[in-house]
Amino acid sequence: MEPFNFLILSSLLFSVGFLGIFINRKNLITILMSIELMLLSANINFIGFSDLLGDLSGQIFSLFILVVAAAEAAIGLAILTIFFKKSNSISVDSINRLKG
Amino acid sequence: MIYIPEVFMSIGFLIILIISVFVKKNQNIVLGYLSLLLIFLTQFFVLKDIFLFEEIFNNFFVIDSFGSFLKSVILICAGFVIYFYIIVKNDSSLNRSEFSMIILISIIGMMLMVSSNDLLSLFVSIELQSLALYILVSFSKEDFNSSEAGVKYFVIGSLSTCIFLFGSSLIYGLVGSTNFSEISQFMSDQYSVPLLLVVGLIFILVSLSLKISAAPFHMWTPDVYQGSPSLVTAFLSTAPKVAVFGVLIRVLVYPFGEIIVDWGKILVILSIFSMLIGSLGALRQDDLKRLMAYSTINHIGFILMGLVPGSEDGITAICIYLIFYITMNLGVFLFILNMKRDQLNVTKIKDLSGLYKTEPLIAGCLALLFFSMAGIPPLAGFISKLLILNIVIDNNLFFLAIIAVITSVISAFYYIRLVKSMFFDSPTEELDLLTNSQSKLLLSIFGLFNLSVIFYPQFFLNLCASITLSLFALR
Amino acid sequence: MTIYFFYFFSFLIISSSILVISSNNAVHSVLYLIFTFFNSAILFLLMNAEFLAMTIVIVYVGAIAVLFLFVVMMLNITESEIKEGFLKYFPFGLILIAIFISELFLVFNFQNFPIPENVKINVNEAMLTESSNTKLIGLFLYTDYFIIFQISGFILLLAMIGAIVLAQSDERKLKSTSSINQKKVRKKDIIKLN
Repeated sequence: MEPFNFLILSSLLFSVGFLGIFINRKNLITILMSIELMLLSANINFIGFSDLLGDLSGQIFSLFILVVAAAEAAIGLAILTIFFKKSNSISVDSINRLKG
Repeated sequence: MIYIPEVFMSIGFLIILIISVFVKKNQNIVLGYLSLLLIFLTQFFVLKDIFLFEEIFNNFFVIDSFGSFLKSVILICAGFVIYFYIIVKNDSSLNRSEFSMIILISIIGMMLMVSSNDLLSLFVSIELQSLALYILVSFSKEDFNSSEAGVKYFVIGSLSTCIFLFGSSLIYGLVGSTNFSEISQFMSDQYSVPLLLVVGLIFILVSLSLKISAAPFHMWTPDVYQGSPSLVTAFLSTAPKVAVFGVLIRVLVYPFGEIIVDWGKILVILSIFSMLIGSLGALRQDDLKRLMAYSTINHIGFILMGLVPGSEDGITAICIYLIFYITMNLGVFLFILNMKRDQLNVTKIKDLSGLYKTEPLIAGCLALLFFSMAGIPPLAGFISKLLILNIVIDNNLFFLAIIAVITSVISAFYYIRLVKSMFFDSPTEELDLLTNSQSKLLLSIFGLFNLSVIFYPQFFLNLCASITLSLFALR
Repeated sequence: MTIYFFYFFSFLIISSSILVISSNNAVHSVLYLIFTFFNSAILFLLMNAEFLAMTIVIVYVGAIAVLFLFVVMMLNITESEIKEGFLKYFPFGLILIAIFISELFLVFNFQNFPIPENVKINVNEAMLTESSNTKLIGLFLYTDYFIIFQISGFILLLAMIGAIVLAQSDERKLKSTSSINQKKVRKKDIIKLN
């Protein structure tokens, strides 16, 4: 596989995730999903390079990214749940108490 | 055989976790004392092997005196924070057995961070540390602000993780390995450094600057500092900063030392922005914790300035700055923890007014700490700022030095405003303060330390100089 | 032939990921996310990473996406209209992304990737003795990488403790009567004869 192909794919996916975090005005769960997309883009890079170099360590790296993604999703959703319990809303605009 | 402190600490943590199941609900203090004991023992193991150099665990981690020194500083921070937890009981929502557990697990992550020698081990340990911090920030059940700060910190922290991973994937593709010594080898073999490697390094730098809250990646800091429980803020502003600085120094100096021209410029920009935003942003704050956030950003800018030349002296100065910075910060936060009026926690600046009339000793110590942060001559903060400025001028970065001096003067203004309000303003309503003598004693110790450093600065200089030697022995 | 498959599935990944962030309904977003992960699993198969392809289906689709769906259902978020902020930030974000992509495009275009002679774990050599990708990953995961494996175990432990700490509520909301109070009750307190 040509490295150029999957590099462009992963950077496009990374930008979509980035865009999802920054222009999102709807709800916080979409932000968490965008983070998953960005992690996936790093995964694609690692596995693509692993194939290109004939080296297994890239695949093992992406296995650990999967572990961390699972842990992060669990904690993120737990934080989101207590935020919802207190504010009764998960829209991005409801995060506005702290400013100065 | 070396007793690796992280392994000892992890086993100790698991034992305390099992004990915590049998501890009754109102006796969480027992767990606090146990964690303190574990931190003491780990500190012993760290200091025992402080001059050892060894690559362990298949070259994923490295034991050297630079890492051991930072581990010791991190353990001191965490020890103080857990001691504050024991002596100051001002937040009932923190009164749960898991609090000290999560602090312990985040320390394990930080200790692994400063000794990691591979991008994979670095990534996993950064995650261990920051996941623990997300939980700590949103720990309070009663306070709405705590969970809002938690959401913000989580989103920014995960973004930083993703950026780190993308950068390290680019580096992996180019080098064919994620090990620092392999990357260093690759760099020295190359005739001209490939552009993509610099791009990967920039990604990693951005991610780490999000973690140390260097401007322009600082936006989350004031909100998170204000929203999280005061004890957590005390922890957040000391230990993780030390750990991330350790990582930053190790990554930049060892594997990427060849392209100092590239990252030096980025660090100059980061430090100028941080110093300006840290000093100007603090001027219009009325909350003490927000003010401390901006003060942290300002200090971070100063510390980053010492890394710009990438030399041994610069890193020595950074180590000294970090030691003094944590004593000042822990002292101020110990005071903030004790600020109460009618059993409610208050953190506004105007609550400080007239403190001298009711508590002259405390006001004096606090004034010493604030002056030290501002860098008024005989105090510890002055010595550290002087060392950094000396490095900067030695490397002919006059522009940077001028900005540093101007911003210190601006930041001195708001510290002095705080002191003025303590000593000369008439009290609006009195704080019911410092009911326990331990806090008073500890605060005076922090104040005295900052005052007395001027008599033995050579001790710290020699200590830190011998520590940083190990970092350059590898090359 | 492989390259056309690659293009096809890449197109599907990008388009469904755009749908993830632009869909108004949170449940639809999760479903598009699942679709993205399925396609990337196929992409991983094309890149000779069979174990990872299966793991991504199990972990992402089986665990993470279900967790998302569970939270979406629990919080009862259905539709949300696009606020005016969307249009305010969208052009700025798009310009930023365009710059980012074009810079990376230039860098990638002029970069050749030298293949180092000795990599850490050479797959082609290792494949001569071990037959499958999965077996190979297991062989290295539990030996060379055991310390990372242990730390990731700690991460999962922390995630468990953290989720319990955050989600557990202190006050008991169950409607129950304590047995001591039941014993205290006297007959004359409850039964009244008028």
